[in-house]
Amino acid sequence: MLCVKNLTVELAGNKILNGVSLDAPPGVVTAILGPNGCGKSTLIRTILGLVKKSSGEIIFDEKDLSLIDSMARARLCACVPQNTVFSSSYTVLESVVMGRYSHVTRFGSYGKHDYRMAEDMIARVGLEGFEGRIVTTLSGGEAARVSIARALAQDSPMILFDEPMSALDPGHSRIIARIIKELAASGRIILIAIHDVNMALDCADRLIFLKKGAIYGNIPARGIDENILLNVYDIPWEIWSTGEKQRLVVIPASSDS
Amino acid sequence: MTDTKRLPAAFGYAAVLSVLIVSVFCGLYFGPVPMSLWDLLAMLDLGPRGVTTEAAKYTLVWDLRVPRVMTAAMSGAVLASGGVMFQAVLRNPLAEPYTLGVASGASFGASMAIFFGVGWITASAFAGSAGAMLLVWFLGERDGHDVSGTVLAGVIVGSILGAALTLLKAIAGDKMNAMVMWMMGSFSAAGWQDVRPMSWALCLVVLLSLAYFRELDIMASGSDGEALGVDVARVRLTLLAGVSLAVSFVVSRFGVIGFVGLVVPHLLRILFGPSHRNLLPLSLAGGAALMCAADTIAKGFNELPSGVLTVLVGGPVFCFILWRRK
Repeated sequence: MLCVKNLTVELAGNKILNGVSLDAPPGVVTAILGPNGCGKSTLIRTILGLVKKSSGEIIFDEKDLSLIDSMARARLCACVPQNTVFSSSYTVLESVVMGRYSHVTRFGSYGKHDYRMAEDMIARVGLEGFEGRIVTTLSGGEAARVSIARALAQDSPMILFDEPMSALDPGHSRIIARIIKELAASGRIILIAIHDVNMALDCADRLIFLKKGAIYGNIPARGIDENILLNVYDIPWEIWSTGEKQRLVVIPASSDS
Repeated sequence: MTDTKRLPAAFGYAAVLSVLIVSVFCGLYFGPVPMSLWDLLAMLDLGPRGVTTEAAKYTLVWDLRVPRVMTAAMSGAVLASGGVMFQAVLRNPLAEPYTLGVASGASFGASMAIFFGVGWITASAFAGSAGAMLLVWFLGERDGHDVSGTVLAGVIVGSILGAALTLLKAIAGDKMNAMVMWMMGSFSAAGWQDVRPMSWALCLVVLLSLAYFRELDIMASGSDGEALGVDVARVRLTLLAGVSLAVSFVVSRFGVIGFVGLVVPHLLRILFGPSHRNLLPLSLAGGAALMCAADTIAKGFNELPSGVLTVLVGGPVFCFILWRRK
């Protein structure tokens, strides 16, 4: 279980997160939602140790993540970043095996087990046969899956996603959503910062709304209503239920109404 | 050759080591005093038994050519592998071991020693490079995360020292020639006394290569290294300081030898891929080979400065690489 308690982050004198508290249990996909600038990405980056917290605690398995070194933290917590931009011509296999960094000792090298694991993860995200491809030649969707494969290769019990579908078309977004649900089903803690409410409804079990750096609501995905959306995004919304599974779809109400 | 078509690393090792062996042998064989192949092989204990050589030639090879080839090779290895590490750490393809002001600091230090007529040119150059490095560090690395601040500080410190150097040359009178010759870089005065400091520099970059090749891959790939477990600020500090120190040893003794840290890494990266597990050892050998070859050619042209040769050869090669990449 990941427990964030009273987390406050100040950057250049501005309070980006203000007393945020949340729990993210294993086996559950928890989505962090909210308007631009509400602190979603900062929350993810602070849990990862990329942003320094001002106060509060980030506890995972009775360990404060902000007090352990980056190597130990990487063994507990992996991240799929917002924009997957590969700037050098490594192969897919070379890129994914980098996820094994935190499991190799100083002066050590990636072993057979690390490469086998990287190949398994490449297959798991549906990129079999891509091992030798150069990452800079991949499409956005393929690059995003390489990034997920690398996070999986870290073999950590918690994976954080920062806007994983922001640059993807609906088809690729659906593939990523499926992978996220499978990861949660395997008992991992999954936390996703996401701005697309429908995509969050598609893959998340719980929705946590942030507004101006503070938690506004923490609800099960099926419990979403127009009021919380109106108050978080300051525009009216309509909620529809479609298909046999009564899937929920939200759309901003027409500006004419 | 495109990025998607790499040559096998084994071929790279075989090719680069072959070129290095040929370069070293040419460095020992060619020089102002001609000698036969049998003489050279006998003096290196590689020839047929029973061949005797003159004592003068023995001295020439063992006291002049062997230390010169060794120092040139070690210097080339340090500069090329230093370039590889700087390009990865600073995420900048134009970075080279002199990016943090080491060369301009050394040039300024050496020129000051020449200007004031004190004998400690190497010590003064080393102090200049170390001072410039510390100044860049103080200006650019204080927040610990911003790479561009460090590069910018290096450019600014380099420019200020460059201007100060121009001023020194303008008022140096007949000492200007000595300053310019020092700055062009040459191994003509290399001897056994230089082998030990160069081997320290080489040991330092080899140690850094062995310890940090995986971190260099992660940093060069454009990934957020911290999320994968790399303590980016600490690794950057260690590598930039370590490489700058090693390069200070080279530049303070032999002057500014440009382009080796730029051309060798880029050429090998295009041919054999960016993985530092192979790129670093290949660059160590490739840099050594290029520097030996440049120094051998320099000897053939009445001790032309090696630094000029590496730029004259490296510049067009670099242009060719850029053109092929398109």
